[in-house]
Parts: sequence; C-alpha cells; structure tokens
Amino acid sequence: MNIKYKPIKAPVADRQLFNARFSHDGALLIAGSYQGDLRRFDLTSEENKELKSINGHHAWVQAFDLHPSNHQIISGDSWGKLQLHDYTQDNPVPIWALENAHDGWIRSIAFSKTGDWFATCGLDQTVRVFNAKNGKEKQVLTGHNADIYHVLIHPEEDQLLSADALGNVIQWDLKKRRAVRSFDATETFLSHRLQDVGGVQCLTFSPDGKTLYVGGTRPKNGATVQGVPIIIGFSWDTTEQTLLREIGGTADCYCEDLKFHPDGFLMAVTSGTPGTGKLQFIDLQQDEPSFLLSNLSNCHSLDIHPDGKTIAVTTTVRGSNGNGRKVDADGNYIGNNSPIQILVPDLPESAEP
Amino acid sequence: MSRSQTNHPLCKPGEHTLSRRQLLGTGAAGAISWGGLGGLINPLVADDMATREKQVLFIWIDGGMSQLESWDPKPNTQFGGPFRSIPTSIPGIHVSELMPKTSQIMHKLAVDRGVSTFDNSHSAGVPRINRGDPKDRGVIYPYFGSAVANLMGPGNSGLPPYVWVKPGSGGFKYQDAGFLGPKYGALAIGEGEPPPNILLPNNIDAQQNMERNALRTFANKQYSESRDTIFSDAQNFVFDTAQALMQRQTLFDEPDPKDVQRYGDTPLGRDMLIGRKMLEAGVRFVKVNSYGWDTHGDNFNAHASLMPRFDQAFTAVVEDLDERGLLDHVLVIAMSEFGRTPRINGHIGRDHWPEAWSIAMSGTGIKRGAIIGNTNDEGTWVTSEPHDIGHFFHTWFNALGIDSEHTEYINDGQPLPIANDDCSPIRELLS
Repeated sequence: MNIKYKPIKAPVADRQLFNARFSHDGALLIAGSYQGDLRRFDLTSEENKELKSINGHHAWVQAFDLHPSNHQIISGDSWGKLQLHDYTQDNPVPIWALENAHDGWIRSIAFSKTGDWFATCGLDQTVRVFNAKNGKEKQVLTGHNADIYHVLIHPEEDQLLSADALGNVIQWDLKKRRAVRSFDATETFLSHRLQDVGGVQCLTFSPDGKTLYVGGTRPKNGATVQGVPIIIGFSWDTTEQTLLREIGGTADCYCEDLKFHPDGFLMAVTSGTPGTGKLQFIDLQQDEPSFLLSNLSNCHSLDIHPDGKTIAVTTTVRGSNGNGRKVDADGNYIGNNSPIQILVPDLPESAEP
Repeated sequence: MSRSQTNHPLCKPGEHTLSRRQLLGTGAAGAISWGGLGGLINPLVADDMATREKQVLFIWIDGGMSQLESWDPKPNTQFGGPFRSIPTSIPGIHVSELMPKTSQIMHKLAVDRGVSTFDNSHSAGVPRINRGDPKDRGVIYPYFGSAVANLMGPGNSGLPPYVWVKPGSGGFKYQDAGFLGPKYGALAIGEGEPPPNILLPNNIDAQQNMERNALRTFANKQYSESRDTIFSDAQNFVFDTAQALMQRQTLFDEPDPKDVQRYGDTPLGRDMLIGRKMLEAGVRFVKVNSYGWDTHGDNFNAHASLMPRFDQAFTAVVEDLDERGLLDHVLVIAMSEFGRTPRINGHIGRDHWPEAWSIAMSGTGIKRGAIIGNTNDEGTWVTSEPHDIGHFFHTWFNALGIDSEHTEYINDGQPLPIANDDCSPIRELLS
C-alpha cells in the first residue's frame, strides 16, 4: 500500500457538524448538525452547494443512517426524536416522525441489512429496535449500565451489537430479546473524580466480519480529557482480544471513527486537545501508519465515497477553542463550524488520467 | 490576639451601625483564641446568636460548571448543547434535564443567572472570586471561609471555624486567610479521612501526654519570643484544632449506607455527607470541594456524568438541612470560578466564560425561590443588571447578619472594608 491523500475542497455549513456520509450514488454528502437538522451538500455542483436542510429535529442530530437500498435516511436527535425522510427530495418532508423514541439523546442508529428494521441507542441506556416502514417500536433491550454510544450490525449475519460509555460491547439475540455475549473494551474507560471518561467512541467490522474493531482512548484524566487513542480488535468467533494498537500520543486523545478502505486497510481519525486532529491509514501488519495527515483539526468522522477513492473527514475550525470573549468586528459573539475535508489520492501527474 | 481584631484609633464607635468590628471589642478571646465574637459580644446580639448560630456550606465546583448544562439552559439554540430543559417546582423556571432532583427543590433555592465577573483564567479567577474581588489595598484579602471564621468566630461547638472537605490531601491550609493571619486558614479533611496522627498513640498515657504538652508549650514560648506571634498563634491553633477533633472522632465514622445511597457513592456524595455532619456538629464554615469540572474537551459527555452526581449530593444536603431545621441557620452557596463558553470548541468542549454565568444559594437570609438575573436568548451576555462577586460577598455577609457596608477589618491599624466598596448587597436575593 502506498497511497497518499490530499484535501481538495471543504464544504462548510454555518453550524457545527458531527459526521458526514456519502449517499449511495455519491452525489450528496449528508451530515448531522448541532442545530437540529441534517445538512446536504451537492457534490456534483462546482461549489458543493448546500441544499435545503432536512428539518424537524429539536437539537443535536448525532445519529443517522442511510437505508441500504433506497433513498431513505433515518435520523435521531438529542431530545429523543426519530424521523424518516427521502434525502433526495428538494424539500424533504418526514415519511414518519416519532417524538420521545428515547428518553433523551439518541447516540447512534443502524439499519439492518435488509432495511426492514433499524436499531437505536442512547443516553437512556436502552437499545431499541423499530420497524422502518412505520416507526413502530419492536423491542427495548436493557443490560447496559451507562450511556450507550453505538449500535452496529454485523456485515454478514444481521447480528446487533451495542457499545457503551464504560467500554462494554454487547451482542444481542433479537429473537430471545437478551444479551448473548460481550466484548471487553473497558480499557477505553476511566472513572476520574466524578466523571466517567472515555468509552467506546466507534465500532467497525473487518470486511469479512471476522474481526470487530473498537476505537477510543486510553484515558489519562477527565475534564479536559487526555489519553492515548487506541484500537482494540476482537475475534468475532471467540470474543478474544486480538489487537491493541496505540495510534497516537496523549494529546491525540480519541479515535473518533474507523472505516475499512476498499483496498483493505483501516482508516482512523482522531481528535485531541487543543485542536489536534489526524487521519491515518493503518496496515495492521505494519507498526507505523502507511499514511498520516496531521494538519487537520479535531476530526470527528470519516466516510469513503462509492468511487472507492474519495474520503470525507469532518473537522473543525483551527483555533476555535479559547477562553473568554471572541467577537467579530461588529461585536457579535462568534460561533464555530465544521469544515468537511474532501480528500482524494495524491497521484503523480503522470499517473493522473 | 488577632491582628485583625485590634481596635484602631481612626475608627470611632459612632461611625458604624451594629458592626461586627465594634462588637469584637479590643481584647483577645483567650490566650489561644479562636477569634471572632468570643465573650466580648454585645449581650443583646449574644442572645440572638446563642439561639441562631449562623453557619455556611460553601460548595466549590472547581474548574467551572457549565451554566448552560445546569442553571441557565438555552435549549434548541446555537450554543444550547444537546440537552433538554425541564420544569422546576417554580412555575415558568426551567433547568437542565441533568438536574432532575434539583428541579424539585428549586423553590428552596435562589439562583442568580446574571453573574458577570472578569478573570477567565483559573490562576487569577479562583483567588479573585474567593476573595470577593476587593480593591487593591496592598494586602491579600481572605477567602470567604477565612473571612467568616474571623468575623463570626467558631461559635459554641469547640470545633474549628473553617473546615474544608475535599478530595486529595488534608491538613491545615493557611493560605486562604490572607492578611488575617494563618490561624484563620482552613482545616482540610482530605478523602474523608481525619487528619493523620490525630489519635494519641496507645503507648502514651495521660501523664506522659501532659509532660509532652508541657515541653511543647515551653518550646513554643521560646520560639515565639523572637518571632511574630502570628506563627505561634497558628501553631497553637492547629494543635487545639487537633485536640478538638480528637474528642469528635464520630464525625469520621462510617456513614449510614442509606445516607450513602441518597448522597451518591461518589467523592462528592461522601464529602457532602461529611460536610453535613460538620454543620450538625456546629462548624461555622464548611467548604465542600468537587474537582474535575474544567471541561475544555468532551464537555457534554462530561456533564452527563458530572451533573447527576452533583444533583444528587446537592439535593440531598439541602433536603437534609431543611428537614433538620438547619436551613434556617445555614447559608448554602454553590458556585465555580466562572461559567463555560457558549461557543462549543472543536474538541466538543466549552472553555472559560466569566461573562455570563450562574450562582445558586439557599438557606439563612436568602429569599427562597428568587430566580433573578437574565442572559440573552443564546446565553452569551447578561441582559439584566450584571452582578460581580463583590455584590455576592455583600449579599452573603448580610445574609449572615453582618452589615457589609459598615463593617471593617483592622489590619495593623489599617481599616479595610470586608467587601468591595463599589458593590452592594443584591436585595432581591435577601429575605
């Protein structure tokens, strides 16, 4: 593997964004915002034109997923509301909406392989399963003892996993409505003073489904969290830990997202304090990353385009942290936003078509 | 004799109205004085104090609690964060959903949402806030606990007037006292443990202990003959404090499991419970510390675990004080050195924000249910009359029955106002 990437453009909304995902046809980039909506960018336009947002949420939209085979998007907000939309509509209207689907913050959503159902999780320490057609709740799964950060479906077996703030990952039997087994990622957790620090920040499977990868930090302290970003691998067959990889120093803190590149290597982004952010490609057979881009700021998500080459990384504005008042020339208080870095392979000129 | 309590020829009795300084008189309360009102108090006031010993519970949330995730939520706004607001026991008043228990006792509290102070660094902000941001008069002012210890004395408990319950190390923390002198510092109880070596060793009997003390007294006398007496005063004070605590070991007994359950099995729950015991035992001023609130990164996950633990311990202690009838006599204050920025930084944290934040109070002298002060819709600026820490020092002194505008310290002959003389009490907060 010898791929380098370079940023080419950065769509910017007027608000901060959590994560960005390419649509299945690669024409759109969709991101959940801190403003209670989903932002859409038209990647076929010259300036990555921002389209009308998908509205109706109350607060942060950290959780959404795309239907595996159609144009539907399910999204959940931090007040517990779920909505289903067609994300290709010019003026998206909800197909259905469900207030109080959770008691508060919905952290993650995952469609099943067929798209018939989806799972959610959140601050109320429950995993819930809903019918995608009508939003009817099918199951409520309990067993975590903390805020649940992620749900994930196994790529082959339609098995549901959930991961929490204490570093526990649970596999659920949906027929028996109970936990089947667990994976111990508690190395990502620290109880520091009054604070629960860390937990599972991201989850992904190897393409063959044989290994589960957990991203997080090995926390050193709470408050202004510092810690070494780590990736833990688990055998899907045995739940045994098969990998523990540090992917940065103390200032790099969280491994925020993990995805496999079609070429078979793992991609990771990190977010540290103050403003540290890195993208790296990891060949698990090698000790050092094969590619490291360290001049990004606070990377929070990554996704790969259907073309198998283009990458989107949600970042933030460098220097957006700082104490006290920051005002513009008119004295208005300055907010923050989240440029989405679009990166493409940095090929030698002779290799470009 | 405390230097702060020497009478001063420039300060004539008629100048002040019922000032504590006048009441303190000219003498020391004893060779090893606890300071304060002692036996020199005006008899009328003494009667009053005998039946109404006022005390303070000062809850210090170190690092900066986010006002937006607590007392002054701005849900569904640019800087509002992910959390909902919830109604409280006061119609029309909402707090963050992270404070469900506090929301039910809101009618027992007073909250000022219009706090605006100056320092946005810990190093400057912590001492300035704790000293009441006095004007620069060439002296280091005392923290509020030391001020109360000096102005009000230890009361009748026989216990030290200023106890600081905290995580980490214990011991005697003289630095809080400023110009008042080291003996008005804080006796710190670290990790819920009594000060080390406080019990008499088993192999020393009463006679040996008496001889040991005689030697100690002799050595102290020699030491102080060639030095400023404030040092020997302080040393004697610490010794007396230890002696007093030796008689009160029950203060450190294992807590009732039911209390632990109510206060929370956390460092703050443990310390708040010890704080309540100290107040019940009659300690004049109890400071309870919580560390770890400086959430520059991961502010929202942090507050999601911090706030419920504060909520539980805070509500439990206010409820307990109320049920025991102590809330009529104890001034309760919960505050940080500043709030946190409305702007959410790239590490999903909030930075330091002294411009617009909140302080909560309850108890003696405080008008219950007074929710005052306003910030704008996005929580960026105070839109009501801004209140600096000087206003709060005036308010708290008055809540304790001390006329802050006419009471002065005397430091080596220099009269010094006890609170910033550009500020005044916040009348809307006072009952």
